[in-house]
Amino acid sequence: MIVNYFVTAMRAIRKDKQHFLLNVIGFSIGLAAAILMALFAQNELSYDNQHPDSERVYRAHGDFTAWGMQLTGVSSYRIASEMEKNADVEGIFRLINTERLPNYQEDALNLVEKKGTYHSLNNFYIATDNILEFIALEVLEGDIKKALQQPNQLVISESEALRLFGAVKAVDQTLNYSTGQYRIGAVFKDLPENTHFKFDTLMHLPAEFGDSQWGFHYYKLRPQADIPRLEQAMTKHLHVINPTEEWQSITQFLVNLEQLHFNSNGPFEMKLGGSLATLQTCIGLSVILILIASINFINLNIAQSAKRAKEVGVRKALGATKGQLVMQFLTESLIIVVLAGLLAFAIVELWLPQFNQLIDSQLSFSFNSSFMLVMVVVILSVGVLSGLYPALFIASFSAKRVLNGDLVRGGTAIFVRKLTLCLQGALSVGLIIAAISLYQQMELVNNLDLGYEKKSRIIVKNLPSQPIFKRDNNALLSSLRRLQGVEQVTLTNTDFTDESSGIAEFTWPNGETLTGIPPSIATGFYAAEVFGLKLLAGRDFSPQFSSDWYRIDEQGSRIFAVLVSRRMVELAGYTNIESVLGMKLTMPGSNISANVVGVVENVKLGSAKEQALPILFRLGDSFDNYNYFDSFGNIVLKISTSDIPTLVAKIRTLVEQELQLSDVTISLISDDYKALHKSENQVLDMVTIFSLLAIFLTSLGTFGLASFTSLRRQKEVAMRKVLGASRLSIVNLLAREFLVLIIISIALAYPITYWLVGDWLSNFNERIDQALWVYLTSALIITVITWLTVASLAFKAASTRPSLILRDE
Amino acid sequence: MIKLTQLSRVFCTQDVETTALNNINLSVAQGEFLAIMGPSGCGKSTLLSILGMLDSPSSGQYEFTDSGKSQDISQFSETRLAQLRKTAIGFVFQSFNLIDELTVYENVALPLMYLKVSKAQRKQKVEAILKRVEIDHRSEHFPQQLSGGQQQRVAVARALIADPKFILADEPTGNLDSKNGEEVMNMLKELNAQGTTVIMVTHSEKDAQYASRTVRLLDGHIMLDKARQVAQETTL
Repeated sequence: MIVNYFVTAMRAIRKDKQHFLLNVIGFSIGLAAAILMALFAQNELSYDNQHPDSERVYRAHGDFTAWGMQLTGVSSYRIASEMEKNADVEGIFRLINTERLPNYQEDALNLVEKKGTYHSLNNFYIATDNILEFIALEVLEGDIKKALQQPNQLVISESEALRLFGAVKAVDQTLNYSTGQYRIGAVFKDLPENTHFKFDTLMHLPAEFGDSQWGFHYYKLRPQADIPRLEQAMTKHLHVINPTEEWQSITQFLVNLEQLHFNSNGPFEMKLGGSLATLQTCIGLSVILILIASINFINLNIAQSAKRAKEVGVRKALGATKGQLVMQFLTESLIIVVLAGLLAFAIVELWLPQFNQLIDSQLSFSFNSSFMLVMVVVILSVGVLSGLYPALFIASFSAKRVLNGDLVRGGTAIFVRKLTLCLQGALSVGLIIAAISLYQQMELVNNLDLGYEKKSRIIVKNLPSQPIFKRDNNALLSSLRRLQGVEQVTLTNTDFTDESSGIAEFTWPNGETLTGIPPSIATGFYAAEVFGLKLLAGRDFSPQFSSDWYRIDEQGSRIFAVLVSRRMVELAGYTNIESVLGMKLTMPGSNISANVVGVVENVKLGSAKEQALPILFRLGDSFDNYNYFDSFGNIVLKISTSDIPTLVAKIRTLVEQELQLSDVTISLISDDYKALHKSENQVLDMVTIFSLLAIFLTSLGTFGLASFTSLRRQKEVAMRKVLGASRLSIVNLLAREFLVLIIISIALAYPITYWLVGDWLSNFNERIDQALWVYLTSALIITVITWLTVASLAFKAASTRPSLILRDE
Repeated sequence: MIKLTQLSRVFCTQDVETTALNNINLSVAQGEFLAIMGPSGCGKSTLLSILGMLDSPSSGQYEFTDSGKSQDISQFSETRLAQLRKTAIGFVFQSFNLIDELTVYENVALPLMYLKVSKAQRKQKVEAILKRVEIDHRSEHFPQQLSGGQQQRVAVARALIADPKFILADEPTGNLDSKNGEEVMNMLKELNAQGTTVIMVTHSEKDAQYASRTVRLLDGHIMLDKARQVAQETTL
């Protein structure tokens, strides 16, 4: 019997190719999108599951939102030392970025020399020797535990070994730094993509390591550990070691290793984390597409059922049971779904490179995997569910009625068809509104006045600070200034698109001390010009006023000039910004003082979601409250050329030559800023693509339904033509039925979309207002597309000679 | 074999109640060739649907006797009717109602598939019946590739394939030219002569001549029920 079902199905397909193509194309596109999303979701959810005991490993985080800052994944070394004694803690793994250890630069220098060439050590961290108890690392050579117990030994990744030594076998090779020599102790296989860890070089944790440092602390807890109690103890200890008032609002909390990918978007992270909202949006959108594709499938099959009614009647008259007929039509559905599934897999193979580019990932698709098996089961399930209703519907035809020529089916089917078309229309309208609103919001974010200029600015990152932070005879900066297309150059210790780590709590002449970690950024001359800061009062840092540069006077006091932000002036209690010019700021408990030479408009560091904090720019060497000097600095260039690649190449050559560096990171500040909003931009891209697909699939469904409607009403059309109706009036007559449904779907979509888009926008400090024109435009787009789809078919029907139709009747 | 007693069929729409059959009493014996005639809307098709077990009466009894066992099937469920139908009745329709997607062979074999007859037996029976209706040379053709007469011969073959208790023919010559119509009627006559009970609905007086008994319907009532001989005598 199954062979008979199959043969009948294949012949039915051959007979009605349009119906078959509409079904297969629609379903395969929906399935392909869902498979891509499933691949993305699988990858996102696999983060950090590979590590030993990952379910009971937690990372300590700090909540600095009370200071207008973010949640951060770094925590105090001293808290970790205290918590090690807690009965719930089985062990602690420490991972500390060497860039954050300026007081330990003698041992932790990132700049190494090999045969006369300098290399920066990438992603250089200090790690405790219990690393293998926390991270699933594959050691290729050497003994990682031993290497992390001894000074001057490095553990490097496979790719770092290849970069530095040209071979993976690098154990016992050496690298020189200013006061000593590193020996390679072990080489590990590169970390996979699906982990939040990103380090290429590791070194041991010295016994005398300062307690005041902050870094990543991973706690392996005992089963049944009381996590809230541990968090309370951590917060309590934080308040003990930082007794000042402002610290009492800061709290500590733990995040499970497996959840870290979605909770690592704060500052100081090893790499940009994922976004749960993006994942949820993508999954939601793929479900919507599958839904639209399934609805099309159901509608097209029901609409086509009249063509098969006679067959059903005959089969029933010949003794077929309802179950047998359901099986027959379900088999047909499954054949289409299987074909659509195969096509979907082919589309996935074809689209995967572009999709990877879009989501900035390296997803791969293997036909021999459990994922594939799950997908096959899901596809078949969707096929059965989508095929079941049409099969039940067709199988329930009354043999007597259809054999008597009554092919018009009951109201339920028409209602279902109309309802589903409404639902599809509503989804399309909602997606268009969401896409336009998202685009507007991202435009707002990208063009937000941050207080500094992102366009035409190049940043050369992570350069050794000592050779570049020079007041006089700065040959590198002079050479860069001479390059064609470079207007001006300055220095900074801070990447504006990141959060500042430097703080400076100065006391103003009126006795006001700003607490709450006001960012302090070290710069070079021309800071306001190069960064595009808006000077509200005073002047920029300039070589004409060379004494502004950081210096130590005869009494041993350290003095420099500063530019302060408007917010800082206001918080210090001054209403007249001009009045603060020339004021001397002092730092309690130190011999540091600063002269205010200018006031600039507020600057917002980091992403658009951040607040504008009171900020201070200082001229000269970089240090902060703790008098730590940064080992790294950046050069920022204001450019006036459109040929950026050529200029970047010239800058690279110049910097590499001058500093004898082997590799230099150069980027556009506008690109860095865009990367900060990667997840939002991803959502925008996804919603745009999925909206277009949804509209396409809805149009496909409408086309299918309209073709059946025009067929069903061809006699009416012929009669109307005989009675003198024009083509346009006939087109409108046929289109009206669909347009009414679209109007209902618009009414359905508006309130739900307004609420959902509003909810998403509330995540932003600066956000757009939802505009009426967006809603009207999306309604217009869907209405026009629907009208055109229906009209194209209706026009054909209206152009057929009535005699041909009426003769058949 | 068939006995209808006080059988009525009423159709109810939202506001209107239509009585298609009104207290019909009719018996059909084994081996009869019955022609049902009447103007459009007289209830012929409704009666045929009920006789063919495609519909159930609103009231009255439908006694069906099979292998000496008589049972009232008027209140049978659709599933039970389907079970009975596939072993008891062979249908021949005015518009042939062959399945376009199946070949001649497959169309004829279909009732046997629903009866779960083995493939080998199916082959044997289908080939025999196609030979009998002289369409075996077209067994791999699709219905659209055949003339009307050929299609109706296939439909007859399909009706006969499962050795039904009786054949229900609904205007079997309605879509055929006179030559093909005559051929089909001769075939039905021949089948009847071999012992198959035939019940036929027709508008054609000529076709009705082939039947041994004619029942005339009007507005849901049986107006006339006469055996052919009697009718002929009356005419004389």
